[in-house]
Amino acid sequence: MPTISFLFFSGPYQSESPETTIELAKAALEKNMKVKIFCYMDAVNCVKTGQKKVPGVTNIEEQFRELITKGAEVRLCTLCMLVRGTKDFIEGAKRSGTPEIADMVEESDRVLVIS
Amino acid sequence: MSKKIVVILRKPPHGSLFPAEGLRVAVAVSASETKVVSIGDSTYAFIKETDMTLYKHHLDFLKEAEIPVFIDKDSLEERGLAEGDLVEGVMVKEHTKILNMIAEADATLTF
Repeated sequence: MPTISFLFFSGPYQSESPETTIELAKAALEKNMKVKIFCYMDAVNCVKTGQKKVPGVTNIEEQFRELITKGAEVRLCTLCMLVRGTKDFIEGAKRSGTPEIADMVEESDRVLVIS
Repeated sequence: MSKKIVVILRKPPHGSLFPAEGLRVAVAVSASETKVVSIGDSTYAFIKETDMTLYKHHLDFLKEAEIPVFIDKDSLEERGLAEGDLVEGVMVKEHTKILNMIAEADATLTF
């Protein structure tokens, strides 16, 4: 099974980068690829719980829950969370650190960086 | 066999944390065959006068680990800067050589 990893930088509700990452990850999962997403810098806020649902706006929390349900591995930069005070995050996402990026690169067929 | 990784720095050290975070990741992946290349406004991160508090320790580690940091010559010259303006330990390379490094990489991590 081919593996694709995303090194993802953007926080939610400012640009379409989270949506782009989500849609690419969904497409890869639909093609039976293994998907890993490393949320770095502001991207750790994409998995915060309690994001308000606004009609017409993609709810990033829900979309990440769906990705995890479909099998995506979502990892979070712990230091990035600490400096942002990000504490509560969705079930299935896991705290990690930059050494995991090294593992992701070694284990992946492709690494995409989305900022 | 470990992959060839190029960490590409693009963004400035003023108004952005990207060069510092890119160098942090370069340290993290340094067990692989890693190079760091600096292009565009990220070249300001390696000017002697720049405050490097956030990433000096990463640069020191990369030097100890013999992970090279290459500065794009064109980017430097476009900003009116020269090799003498840079901190010790980084190397200026022709633009085509920087492009070759990127082309030969198994993975590029862009900051």
